[in-house]
Amino acid sequence: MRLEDSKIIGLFFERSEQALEELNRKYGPAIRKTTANILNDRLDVEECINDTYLKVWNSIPPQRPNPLVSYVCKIAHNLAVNRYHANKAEKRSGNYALILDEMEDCIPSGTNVETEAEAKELAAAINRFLSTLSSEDRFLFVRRYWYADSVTDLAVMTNGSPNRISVRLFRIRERLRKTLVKEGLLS
Amino acid sequence: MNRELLSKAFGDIDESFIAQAYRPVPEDASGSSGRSIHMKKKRILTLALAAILLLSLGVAAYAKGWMAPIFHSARYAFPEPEERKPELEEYYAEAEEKNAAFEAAEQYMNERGPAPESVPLPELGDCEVTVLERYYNGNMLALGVHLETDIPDFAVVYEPVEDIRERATFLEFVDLQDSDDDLDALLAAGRLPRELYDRLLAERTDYAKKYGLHRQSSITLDGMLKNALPPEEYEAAWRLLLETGQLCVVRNNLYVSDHILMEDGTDLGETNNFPFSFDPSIPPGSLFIEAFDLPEAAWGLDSLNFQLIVRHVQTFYYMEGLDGPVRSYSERVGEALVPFCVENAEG
Repeated sequence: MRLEDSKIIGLFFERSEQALEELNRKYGPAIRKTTANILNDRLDVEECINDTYLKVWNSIPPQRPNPLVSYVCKIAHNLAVNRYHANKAEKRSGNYALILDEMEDCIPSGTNVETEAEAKELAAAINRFLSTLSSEDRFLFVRRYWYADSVTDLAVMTNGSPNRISVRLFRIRERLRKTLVKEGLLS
Repeated sequence: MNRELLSKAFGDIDESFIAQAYRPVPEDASGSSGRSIHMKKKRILTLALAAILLLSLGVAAYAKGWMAPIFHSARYAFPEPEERKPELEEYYAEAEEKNAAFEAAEQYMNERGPAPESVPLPELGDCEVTVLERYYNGNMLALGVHLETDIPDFAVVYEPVEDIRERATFLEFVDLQDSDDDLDALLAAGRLPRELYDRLLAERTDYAKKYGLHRQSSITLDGMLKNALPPEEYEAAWRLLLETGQLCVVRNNLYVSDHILMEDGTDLGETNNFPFSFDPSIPPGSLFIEAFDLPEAAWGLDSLNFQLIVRHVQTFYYMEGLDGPVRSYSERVGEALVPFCVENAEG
């Protein structure tokens, strides 16, 4: 049994090292999987995990995130993605490269999204799109393009076949592309 | 669009969606080891011993009549010089730089006097956003913001909830690596130590004991409602559950986004913000926001026009029968862009 999030956060506020133990016990595997899905290199993964814990330790307090899980996973995800792009080409292959290819399926390189602010506008559009999806489709989308899970993992999670998952993801990407065209973000 | 921006756009998914899609990962698949935990802990504790912590200096500040208690409280506190770690010099330097800016901000506010500006937001349930403290020096922006709302954190939904029932698909409040949160089943499967099982059942509310709630999610929701609702509403919620066999509760989350926009929609970039729930001298709902890395478009202006984004997200919790688990879904029900202006303190 894991401690409740509020109790873990309470330990951080007390500056108790037990907070890290409990965080690791409860969400350590998810943090590791999130980073390992994006990064190929084991040392990169280890450093990214260390950096995640350091960032959480330094930000709670004053932050009191709710829910805790998305807070820590988002830190891990962002650190892993930044490291992925900072790495040289030979370390940038693997699972996440395939996922980026799929993202480019619906958002081709010819778009006008060239700045961080425009990327945020696109992110807002993706969030609006997500809120229109069924919970199952949203789950698949977020697990594939945010948690960077493999299609095989998704098939296991949803008791489906990898082929069915691939087709469903393809259809979701198509819908996203049409939505973005409709919103004027893609031509 | 380059692939870095592409992954940033996809990476900026709402935290509520990320939380909903979270699934615990079996430990044996993680490769986690005690040694790596120790290494992490060692590194963090080294930093923690000398960490620059934001301390609640606001208690004294408020008592002394400071005009800018939020800016005052936001300052970083340092360990004594003899306790400082040489390897953290870069860290100290960054915090000192920020403190200098916060002190300048505080001094500026003290010289000008308080000038809070409130904007009512009827479209978000009559809430009101107030900028209490503001400072811009051509390079950075610091804000003390207060959000006032009468919207209750929790409310029981008495209207028909068929739609909510359909949409509430995520098992809520469940920490275990199981989709079944029945404590009896978990105990029988050896997933829950007897001692913990006994404690969880013993700590239930009187109602939960009387009607035999035995799922982690339903026990948690009942405990939350007991703490959050006035006694008569809590009792009414139980009456509803017993009479209709279902209970639906909505949780309102009204917040100021960590994205701040310029008039033309340019994002002011990465911001740090934190609530002052730990500081009793500052009204609950107050928030400090700093943007230290402004985009070029926001540099050196005579005044900076900016827009705060206020959002209202609702999470619905649905429970069917005394034996059923609690399931949930969230949706954004409102958003407002609120324009404000701040003069350049450097003239």
